Amino acid sequence: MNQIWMEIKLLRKSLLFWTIGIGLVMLIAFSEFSVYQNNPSNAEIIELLPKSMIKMFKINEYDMTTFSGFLGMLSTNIILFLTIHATMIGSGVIAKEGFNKTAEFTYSLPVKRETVITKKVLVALFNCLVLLLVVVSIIVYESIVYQVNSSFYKPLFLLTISIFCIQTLCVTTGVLVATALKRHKFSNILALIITISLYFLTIISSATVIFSFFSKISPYGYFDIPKIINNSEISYFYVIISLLLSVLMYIVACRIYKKRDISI
Amino acid sequence: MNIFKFELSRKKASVLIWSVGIIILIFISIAPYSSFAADVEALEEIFRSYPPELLSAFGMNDIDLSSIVGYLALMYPFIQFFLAVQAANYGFALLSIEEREKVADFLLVKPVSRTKILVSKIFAGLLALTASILIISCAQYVILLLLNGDEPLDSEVLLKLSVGYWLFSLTFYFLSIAISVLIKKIKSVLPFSMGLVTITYFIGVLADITNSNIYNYLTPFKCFSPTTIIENRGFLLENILISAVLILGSIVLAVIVYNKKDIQGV
Repeated sequence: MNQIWMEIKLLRKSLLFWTIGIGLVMLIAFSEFSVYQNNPSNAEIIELLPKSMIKMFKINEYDMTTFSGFLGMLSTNIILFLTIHATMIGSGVIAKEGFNKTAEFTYSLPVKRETVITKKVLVALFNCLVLLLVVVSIIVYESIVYQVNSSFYKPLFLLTISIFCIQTLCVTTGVLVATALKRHKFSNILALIITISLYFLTIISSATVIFSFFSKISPYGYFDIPKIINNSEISYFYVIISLLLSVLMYIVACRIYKKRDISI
Repeated sequence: MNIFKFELSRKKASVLIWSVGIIILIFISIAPYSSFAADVEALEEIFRSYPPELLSAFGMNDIDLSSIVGYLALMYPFIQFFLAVQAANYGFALLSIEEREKVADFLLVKPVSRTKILVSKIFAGLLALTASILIISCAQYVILLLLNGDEPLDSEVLLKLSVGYWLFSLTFYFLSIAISVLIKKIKSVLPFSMGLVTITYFIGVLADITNSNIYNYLTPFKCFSPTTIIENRGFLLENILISAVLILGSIVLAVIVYNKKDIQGV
């Protein structure tokens, strides 16, 4: 328990900055929604855009004049933001022992290495959850301001679940990279490059025939956000897959870290 | 000169890795062009029947999607994102690395003024960044040439888009130098660079979804947006001025603050 408190304490400052950043951006973005509200002319044009372009930006599936459609359009960007946060927390929580030169202290405590890592992962997930809850509460607040009817809350709930699955995957990817890589300096950036390029590649590939298989492998393709927003459907198969995948990555990370030389 | 050489040699590997990474990204994003081009004719037909004011709300009227350069413009923000991360990484690391690696006293006791240290470091980073952009732009030209087939390539606009990469990177580079001297101690570069890039990227997204003009001036992502470059076949004076002011202001701020900064030794 001591370690968990310690880690939370160390991360609270960064969590605060992330919360302020994403909170401000979202509040500004939602204040712009009033331009779209009850303004049908925009929706017409979107319907006429070519299929490949629409797919690329996932615009047409949303009716921007409604609150949920606007949220859907915004959610791709929110996911990018949360992805970056989750990956950085995931790899940072392991690698920081390296560059703060505290590994010697942490790993000489009478606790197994797996326990240390497990607690670190839990703290990282807790941080992600707090940020996600902030995002969701801003959305709920704005939905009250714009007087959205209550049928909106089911898709919002499903959206929250799917974003949390993506966050979990990102955290475990970060942890895996940080444990596998010897040079802790690069683990942060490598993990980030993996997740961000996956994100962009998913967007690009969903528009094309050649790489379209890619969007089915990549975690960002697991959850069909337009479907969640418009029909409030989610495929629980992918929820389970992504959770299994994170558990798998976590176990591998534990295995690797158990045997690893820790340089100080 | 020694500081300059040392800084430059430190950045060699990084420049290579970033350039190769971004070139791969460019290739993957441009490769699907042929499957995209088929849809474009239908699109152009539709667009012709709509009033321009309506299209401009989407930023659609300015891009000619039937050419590969127009398609590149669609992918431009993604490439910009990674360039911005690179530039911000260089900027934030430039002056904070000594303190982090506990070698600041070694550098600062040398018989060189801080201004000179700063200037040589800035030039080294600038050269590394420029080299990287140069490699990327050449590779981009080759990729476009290969994928375009027989149609003529609009080299002039392509060149301006590459200059756009450069100015865009420089803005981020100097901005992050200025921010880095203001922060007491940077433990890890990445949170700062990612923070700066994501926030500015989001302001760019806001500019896309709204009709108000303010956001266009608040972020380099919009100052060097492909739509303005292609539409005007060059840059707008106001956007150049904004980034010039940002760059000059950042340099002045960095010189003033770094000369007085209390830098922790071992």
